[in-house]
Formats: sequence, C-alpha cells, structure tokens
Amino acid sequence: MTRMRAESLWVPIAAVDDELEREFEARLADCSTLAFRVAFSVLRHREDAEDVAQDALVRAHRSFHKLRNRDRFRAWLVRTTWRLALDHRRGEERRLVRQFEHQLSATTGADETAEARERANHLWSAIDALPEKLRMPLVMFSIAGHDVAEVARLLRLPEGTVKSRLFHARRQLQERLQWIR
Amino acid sequence: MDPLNDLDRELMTALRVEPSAGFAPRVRARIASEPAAARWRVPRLALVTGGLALSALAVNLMFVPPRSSGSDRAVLPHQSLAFIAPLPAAAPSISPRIESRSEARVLSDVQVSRSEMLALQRLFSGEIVAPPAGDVPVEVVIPPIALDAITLPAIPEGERQ
Repeated sequence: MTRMRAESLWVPIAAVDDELEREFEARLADCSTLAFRVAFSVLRHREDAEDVAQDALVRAHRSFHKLRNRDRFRAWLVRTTWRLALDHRRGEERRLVRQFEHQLSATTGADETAEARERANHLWSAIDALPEKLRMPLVMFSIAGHDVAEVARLLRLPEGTVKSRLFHARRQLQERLQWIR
Repeated sequence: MDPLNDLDRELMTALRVEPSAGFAPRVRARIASEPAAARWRVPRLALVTGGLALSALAVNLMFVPPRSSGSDRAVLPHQSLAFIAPLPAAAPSISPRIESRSEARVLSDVQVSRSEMLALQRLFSGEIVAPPAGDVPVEVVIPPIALDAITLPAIPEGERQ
C-alpha cells in the first residue's frame, strides 16, 4: 500500500501538466463568461470588461495549482475580477463619457430602444450608488443562474448575510428607481 | 405586479451580456504566450525533498561541533596522556572547576601536535636523555663595571656662541 502510494507520487511532470491544462480548459469554458459579466457589471464597457476578465483568467492560470476545486476557483475568479475591474475603473475615471451598453432584444423598435437605454442608465446609476457590500451580492445574484447559495459560495459569506444584503440592496434601489413602480 | 420581480428582471437583462466571439481564443493565446516557468510546473515532490535536505544540513551544521582537520594533529585522549605522564594522586587540584557539560566535553580531549606527542612518548620511554647537570654553569660571574670620569675641555669665555 505504502509502496503503491510512493509510486503514485512519481507521476511524470508532463502528465501532471497535461492533466492540469485539461482541468483549466474546463474551468475556462465554465467561467470565462462569468468573469466577463462581473467585469462588465463594474465597467459597463465591453472591451474594457474583456481586458479585465482576460487579466483575471491569466492570473487564475498562474495560480491554478491552488485553485483546482471548482467552487474555490469560481470564488477566487469572481473576487479577483471584481477587484481588477474596480482598479481599472479608478484608472479610467478621467473619461468623461462612459459608454453604457445594454443588451437589447433584436425585436425592439427605435422608441423602445431609446426608452430601454434610458432605463438601463438609471438602473446602473442606482447600482453604482449602492455601498460595495450591497452592490456585489446584488450583481452576483443577478448574473444568470446564481441563487442565494451560489452567491454565498462565491462571496464566502453565510447565506443569511447574503439574503440580508440582497434585501437592503433591493430596498435602496426601489427608493431610487421610481420608474420601477 | 411585484416591483421586486420587475427589478430582478431589469437587473438580469442588464447583465445578460456575452463576451465577443474572439474573447476565449484571445485568453488562450495570452496564456500560451505566458512564460513556461509557471509555478505549478515544479513537481511538489522535488520541493519537499529539497526542503528536507536543506533542513537536515542546517541541523547538522548547528549541532555538530567543528573539528580541526590538520594533517599533523592527532587527538590524544586524556587516558593516553595519563599513561604517559600520570599525575600524583595526592596532589591538590588547582584546575578550574568545570561548570558545564560542553566545557567538560571539550576538556576531555587534549589535542597535541603529532610531533609533540612523539617527543613526549620518547622522553618518558627513556629514548631521550636529559643533558647532564655538569654542563650547566653553576654560577654566573659578572665582571665589575668600570666608569671613567668625563672631562670637558676648557673653552675661553669670548669664544662661546
């Protein structure tokens, strides 16, 4: 038994590399859109968000030997992307005009598009005004496919804390966004 | 209509964005262009083995006392020296009291040069005979020292300066 365990430690380095690369490729397919959306929620600029998400994924690749667990990888990636996006945004504060992008349905007409863009601008302004500890759970929850438990895992917070922060974030948004009512 | 549901829908719509088609290939290309010396490429077993070897070396250097490696020096245990030159049993000890075990360990091995050890062995075995006492002068005679008086030549008063 001991001998078998000792022999298992002597896996060829190339084989270890291949296995890690395969695992990272799976994580990349799973999480690259998540990283992009997290960056976009902070920057709201598609190209900047792709650059920041790319930086975060390259850092994740460098540290992948410590991040092989899926939940740990996603949590690390979300936090790192968020932090990098905030840094990038602080560096880009000089820009007077920020490009607000909004994914719109292809079937919407010109009037609806203008109205939707205005609503999106209001929405993002209200989100930006939230304190950091409320904004991050709200954005994570709003990214498709994330429930409270997933947000708690991503942010390494208790589920009760996530629920409480979501409640307060929504209430503050409601107060600012009268058009929702 | 529940306003919270409307809000959730607005948020989800706002965040339903997809990266461009070239995003993933760009990430892969950038990772491929990274230097190959990624940290996780170093086998963990090699790191553990190297660490253990360094630790053992450090412990060895810390706890093993340094020994002289000169070719002309030999360690003469105190028992051998006692055999050559036994001390009188009744002689009062005037040696300083040994306080610590490390000091006792250092003093237990008397180090002498090989030539000195051989000379001592030859002396006590009788090979070397001390010079006869007659050759040594019994009394040193020092002749009396004679001091001559210094006389100064007479110089006239006006010739000074």
